[in-house]
Amino acid sequence: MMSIRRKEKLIHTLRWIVKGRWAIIVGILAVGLAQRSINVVSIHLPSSVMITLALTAITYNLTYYFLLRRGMRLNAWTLRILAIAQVFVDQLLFTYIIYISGSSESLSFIFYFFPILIATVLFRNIGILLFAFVNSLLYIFLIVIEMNTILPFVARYDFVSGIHGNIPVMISNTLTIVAVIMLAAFFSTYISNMIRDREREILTEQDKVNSILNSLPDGVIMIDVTGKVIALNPQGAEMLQVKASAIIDNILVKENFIPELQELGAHIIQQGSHTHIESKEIEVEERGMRHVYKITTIPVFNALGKIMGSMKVITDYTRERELDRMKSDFISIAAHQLRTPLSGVKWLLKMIIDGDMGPLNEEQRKFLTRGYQNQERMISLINDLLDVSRIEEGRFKLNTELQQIEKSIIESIRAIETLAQKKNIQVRFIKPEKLLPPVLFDKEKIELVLQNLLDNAIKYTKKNGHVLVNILQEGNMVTVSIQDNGVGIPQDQQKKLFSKFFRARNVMQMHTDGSGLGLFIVKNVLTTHGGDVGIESEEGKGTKVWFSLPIHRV
Amino acid sequence: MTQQKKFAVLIIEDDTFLHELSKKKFIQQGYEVISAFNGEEGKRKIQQKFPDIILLDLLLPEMDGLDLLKELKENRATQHIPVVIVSNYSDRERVQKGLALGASDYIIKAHFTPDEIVQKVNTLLKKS
Repeated sequence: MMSIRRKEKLIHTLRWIVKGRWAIIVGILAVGLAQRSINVVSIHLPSSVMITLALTAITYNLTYYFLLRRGMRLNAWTLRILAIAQVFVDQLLFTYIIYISGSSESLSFIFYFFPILIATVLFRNIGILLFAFVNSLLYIFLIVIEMNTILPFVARYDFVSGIHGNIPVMISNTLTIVAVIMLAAFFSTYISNMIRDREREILTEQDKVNSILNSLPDGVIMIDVTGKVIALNPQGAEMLQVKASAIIDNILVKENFIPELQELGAHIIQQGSHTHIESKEIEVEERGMRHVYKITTIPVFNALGKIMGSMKVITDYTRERELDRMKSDFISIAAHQLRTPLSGVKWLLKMIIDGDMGPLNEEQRKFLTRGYQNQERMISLINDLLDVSRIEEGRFKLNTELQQIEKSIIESIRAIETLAQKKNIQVRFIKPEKLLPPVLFDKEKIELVLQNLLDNAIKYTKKNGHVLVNILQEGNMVTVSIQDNGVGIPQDQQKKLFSKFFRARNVMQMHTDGSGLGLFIVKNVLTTHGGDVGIESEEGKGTKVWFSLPIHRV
Repeated sequence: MTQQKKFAVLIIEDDTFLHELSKKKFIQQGYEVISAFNGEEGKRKIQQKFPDIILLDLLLPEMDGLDLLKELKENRATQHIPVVIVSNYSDRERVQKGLALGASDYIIKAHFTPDEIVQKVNTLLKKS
């Protein structure tokens, strides 16, 4: 049995051979007629014969053509016979041409290379050699029967060439021609084997790629630069609710998608950037169910680096988003529940301290103030923990806007002013002479960073010290630095500074109440912004913390 | 307090302890305090007498604070009354939603003292 794939391929090849034969017929006829018009007297092959031969060839080529139009309806045997006929009928025809154009004197044996070439395309190994052998026999047979005058000799030229009748020359000519035919067949075999091996390699490679694509949990669709679908895996077909067979090899349009999926479809159709990967999340309402899909558009290049189109990877994020939502609900409820009783304690203590509940003596006020400070610490710890859990679940979503960072610095300094005044620490902001370009950042998060860093600078600087805030542009980054002349950080502890719950040895004794979360949060906020943070410090001399944010040019 | 007219503040808060503390603070500061312990009650109290300002908790029994806020701001008769949200929810979505619905301010309970809340209310009333 012939597989459908092989059948398709064979029909395709046979159609090409039929097309090619039209060119060969026209070519040979033209050469023959031209030769004749140059030297009419000495060539014995009349134009009428040449045209008759061409008509014969046209007739059988037309027969092939009409047979092949039946395409896949042809059965395997007809196809096999058709394939053999492609070579054999040509060989017979060319043998006849050689005979009437002078047999051993004729140069037409060159035409024998056409059937050998066709045999190379259609058959391999033994097939090619067998046809070359048949061909050689036909030629030898022609020469032999003519020598024995079974067939009359048709001279090519009107002068004696010296070949016909000269037996040693004829034998050696014939052998040479046969040897060349066989040699050509041998090399053809080699080439056809090589092509087959390549084909096999490509098929295995294709198989590999296909099985990878088909076993991916994500949907994959590949679209070329004209908008035509090149590939679609079953998962993709299911997610997009389309039939692969209906859209592959066709230009993709919005109408291919059901109405609920047209927004998603619009993003699939878009070519996207040819330089970088883009992703987008899309919410879809499908039969009353909310789905979240993430579409990642990846430009695809061929081996020569030329853009071929784009690949879209469709990931179902519904479950992840649902879990995210549940987690964030849980955290905000937990925060709410923890803060509510603390608010009561805070309000009560404050009102007692303020004398709203009646007069207090000095000692009572002192102790209540310490109680108040302790609950403030508790609230700030809960806030830190909340920030950390938001970071850890990847929900530290940024709400970015293009804005001046100077404003945030001024506001953050204002927020810690009271704290600084208490220790008589001077906080100075050295404004840049020229206005810096605006930076894309989340105001709330960056102010959290600034307050954290300023808070640290003041906490770990002794009375009457100073804190300098500096801002400058370095290439594509805006860098903010906060320098103090405080206690500094021991060299060996600087590496661990940004890890969770870490506190330096020397500051642990100064302030026992830190959570060790501040710099961890700082680092995370800056990383999500595409920025960086670093520290330079010498124990006893002071610390300089800097952070940078990228400038996004529009 | 040098105000000629006693301002009426409606406190809608279900936590009895916080409710009591803020009520005491506002009375001391010369306000008339109207109390409500859930959304429905708050709505009823507003219909009885329009307060000058409303302090609104969000997590309330009977009727959610944001729903009540929406109703108040959609009603022509009540939309002029300033509403200050006083809640311990601090997630951005909720803060933004509250302000978008027309709240004059959003106060996170744990981050403010009664004193500071009174000051905020004073400033808001001076403006209106």
